[in-house]
This record gives sequence, structure tokens and C-alpha cells, in this order.
Amino acid sequence: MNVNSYLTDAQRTVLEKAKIGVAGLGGLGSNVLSHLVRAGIRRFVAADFDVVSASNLNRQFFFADQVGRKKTEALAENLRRIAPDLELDFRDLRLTEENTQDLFADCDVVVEAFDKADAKTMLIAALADSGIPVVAASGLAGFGKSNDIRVRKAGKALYLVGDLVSGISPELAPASPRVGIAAAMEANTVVAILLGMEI
Amino acid sequence: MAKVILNGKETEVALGEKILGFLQARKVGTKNLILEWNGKILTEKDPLATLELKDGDTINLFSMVGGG
Repeated sequence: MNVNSYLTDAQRTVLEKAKIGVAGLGGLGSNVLSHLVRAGIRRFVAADFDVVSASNLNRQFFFADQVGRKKTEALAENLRRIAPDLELDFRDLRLTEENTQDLFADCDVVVEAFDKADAKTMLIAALADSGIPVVAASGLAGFGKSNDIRVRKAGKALYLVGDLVSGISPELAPASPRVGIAAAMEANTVVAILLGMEI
Repeated sequence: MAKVILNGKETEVALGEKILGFLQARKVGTKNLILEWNGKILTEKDPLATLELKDGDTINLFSMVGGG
């Protein structure tokens, strides 16, 4: 059963066959997955080594009674409450230059959803020559300036969501509205790539 | 001299200029920089010190900043 009843048969087939990689299950990754599950995608590979902390609840798709649990487990549970029959290959591990290509080798699109800039760059470099479309995010901290967040295409298969300047700092925290905008734009870009729609 | 298109603007570069030197001359750091060079994606892991710019090259620069 597909959770999204507003699809054509052709769209449903494409989305149900697709396998999406998600690197990081924090503010971006957890919300990207929620959107993609509701859009009708059901096969995912994802990795995160972290546990849910109270400070995550300002923007991440977890609940207060899940604090202390592995993000991979807690998020799988939350996503299956939306759609019980998902194929979730969630790994409790740290992605590196060495394991990133292997983990995502058979994905149709990979979403970069890390917190740290170094990890974001690592993932883009690791998949740059793979031919796999990568949707990444840069510049989403703070409040306001909604219209500064947009999607840019770079090269044949890299899509960058964000304003490219609003990094996190002591003065600029990540918060639900703006992280949510970026996550929704990443998810929207994934679906557009799969369905051959305008980005 | 040769001309390249940097972030959409025509820019003059010396013949034989390497990508790293080009960035350094403009005080652009390579850490967490994504370069789109004639449609190819490069980062500081690529040999920027030896890749040579040619007349008509297109370069777009994007910064990866933290937050997610």
C-alpha cells in the first residue's frame, strides 16, 4: 500500500522502485525522510552514529520519550508509524571516505544531511564521480530570510539547497523553521529528480 | 591573458594559471569549497595546484557551511 494516494500509476511505480540514500539523521535527514515517506518512496539506506538528545527536539523528527535512543532505531520507528511496510536499511555507523561509496552504490539519489561542513564536503567529494545525483544542503541556520534559501545545480548531478552563507555559530543556531525549509527543499528535489520534473 | 567565467562574470587570468593559484589570488580558501569547473565537481581533495585554467573555462564556487 502506498501512503500517497495522489500519484498516477506511473509515478507510483517510479517512487516505489526508487532507493534513496540519506547521510545523517539529524535536522535535515529525519525531516527529509518524513517528507519522502509521505511522498510515496519506501526504500532507503541511511547512516548515523548518534543518539537522540534533548537539544535535538527543537528541529528533528524525534520525540521526548526517545531521548537517549539510537537515531537509526528511533527514526525507523517513527517512519513506520507513517507507512508500516518501508524497506529501511539504517546503519549505526560513521560515514567516511572509505565506506560512503559502498553504502550508497545502488541508490538512485543520495541526500547529504550532515551537520558539520567537513562531513558535507566529504560526502560530495566521495560521490562526485559516481554519477549518482547528490542533493546537499549548505546555509540554513537562524530565522528569517526564507527567500534566500534556494536550490542550485552544480555540474551534472549535484544539487545544493540553502543560502550558502548561514552556517551555525554561537550567534546563529539551527532551528526548526529554516532547517525544515531546507529539508523540504531537499526532499522536493529528490522527488523531482526521480519523476523527471523541473527542479 | 586568457578569460574565464567566474560565478557568471568574465575574469582575466594569466596563461597557464592553475586553479589553486587562481583561488589564492582572490583570497578564496579551499576548505569546504565546492568548485564546478566546466561542469565537473572538484574539492580540495583534487589536484588544484596542477589543474590548469584554459581560455573560456567556466568556474562556479560554492561554500559548504555547517548546520543540519
